[in-house]
Amino acid sequence: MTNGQTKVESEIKREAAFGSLPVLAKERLWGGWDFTWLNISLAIATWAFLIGGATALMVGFVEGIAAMLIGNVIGGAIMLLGGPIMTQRFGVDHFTMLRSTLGKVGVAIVVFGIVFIVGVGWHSILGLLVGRAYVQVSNQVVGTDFELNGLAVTIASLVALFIAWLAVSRGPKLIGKLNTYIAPGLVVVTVLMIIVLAQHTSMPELMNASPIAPFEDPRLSFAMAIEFNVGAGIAWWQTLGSFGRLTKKPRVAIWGAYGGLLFGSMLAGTVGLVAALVLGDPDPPAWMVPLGGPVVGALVLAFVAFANITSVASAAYPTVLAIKQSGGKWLERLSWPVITGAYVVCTMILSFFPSFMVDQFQVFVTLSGGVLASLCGVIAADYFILRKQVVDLPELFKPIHRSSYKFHGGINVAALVSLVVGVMFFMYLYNPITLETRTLFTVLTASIPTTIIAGLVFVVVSYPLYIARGLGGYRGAVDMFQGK
Amino acid sequence: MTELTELGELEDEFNERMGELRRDEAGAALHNKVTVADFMLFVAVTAAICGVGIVMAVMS
Repeated sequence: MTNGQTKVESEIKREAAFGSLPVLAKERLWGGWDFTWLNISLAIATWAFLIGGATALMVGFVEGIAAMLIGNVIGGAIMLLGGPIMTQRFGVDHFTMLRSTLGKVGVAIVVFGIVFIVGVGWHSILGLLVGRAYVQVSNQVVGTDFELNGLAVTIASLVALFIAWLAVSRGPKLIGKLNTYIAPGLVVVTVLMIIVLAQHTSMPELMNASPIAPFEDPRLSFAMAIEFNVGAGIAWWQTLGSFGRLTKKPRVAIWGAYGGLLFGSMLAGTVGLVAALVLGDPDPPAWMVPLGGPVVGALVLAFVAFANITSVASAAYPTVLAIKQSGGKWLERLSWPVITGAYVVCTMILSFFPSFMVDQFQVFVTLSGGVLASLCGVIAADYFILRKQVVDLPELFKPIHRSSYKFHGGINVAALVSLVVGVMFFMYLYNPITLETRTLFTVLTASIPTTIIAGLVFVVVSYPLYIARGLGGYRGAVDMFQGK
Repeated sequence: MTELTELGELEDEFNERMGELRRDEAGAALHNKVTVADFMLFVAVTAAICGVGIVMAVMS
């Protein structure tokens, strides 16, 4: 092993271990504006254009703005209740905090059964967006004739994911450095895109533009557009859960994440929505070169493509870290480049199905949103209702057999049963694969009732299984932060 | 899974941190619970923004 590799391994080991320890007040990084700015820059990721564009499939401009507003607010609220608020108070990342809700083995089940799959899906889509960007620029600037979902996209996507692996395998410092430049750059580029779009569209044209593929019932189309955006909002749980621990006040964690993500998502989503409605394609590579000219267009797209690569690296980092922390001794033995490489290979496999991935983007986002809504319902019910915001920190770090969060062999059965019931209820209300819906869906969406049902079932099942029997650390936990 | 008892120097670090949290940070504002008032404000803002969205959709 070279000196550089040893340094990375030691950084990751420190991060994996120290990253799960409670953060002290002097180590907290973000006040109100810092955290809001971070969330704005995160939310202006390039998939936001695709989300705005997919919204245009179902609804027009005003309804689209309304659906993105409602969807992101609801998704953001559910996500906040299931993560950042809790991690802010205790200064511990959500995958460690979740040991009190799911049990230590339960966390591993969720990490491998949900976090891994959702992560691989989102990151492979980002890789494919890079591939499509390069192919479209090549077709428009150099005059090639590559298919939009063909082999060239797959190859470019594989190259992009390989570069992302090079970044993520070098540890958190490099990712942090890249993001310092990328995040503000993306804000500038998004504003540039808005200017270009504004020059080539008129307000009456925008207001009269019809949705691309709406349902017969406009209420159903509107509800589906909202639900899709709820899914996009909840998806931030994976990243924001651990960021909350570095904020300085409870209100910073709540309003910084809420406001920042809403503003950033709306800004970039609106670009995708307008482009899809007026120009017929939400993907900036399809219209940036014709509208902005070959030089500006190609430069902007090259930057966007590079930003996608760093987005994969930044988003993959906490996911792989969670996998490493939850994977037991056999994963601990694997070096960081190997484990990140294995993860990236999984995302690469999906790059061979570009058409499927892009076509099923809406299904994937909605479905993963439903699963995360159910999970957040369980977490919120446990933390706010049953534990009344009191978690015994030292118990989180004890071996399973000695911890009061032992449950059944490290698995909180009530939590996993409630999670499954919540997902089944979501599918009953709205099946994003078959597009079957119930009346309640058009009134309340599927995520809100799913969050409530999962939480209620959890409370009911927890009583006989754990609380009444004095198990699970529900009784006698001391609030170490109560004033002296 | 990473268990502190198997990582000697980290256990010391953990105990130091817990000591500092109990000693210096107990009662500090950054560890406040979310109050009912905070929660109601959160729900009210969420409902208000949803209301704006619904009005926009109905008006269109």
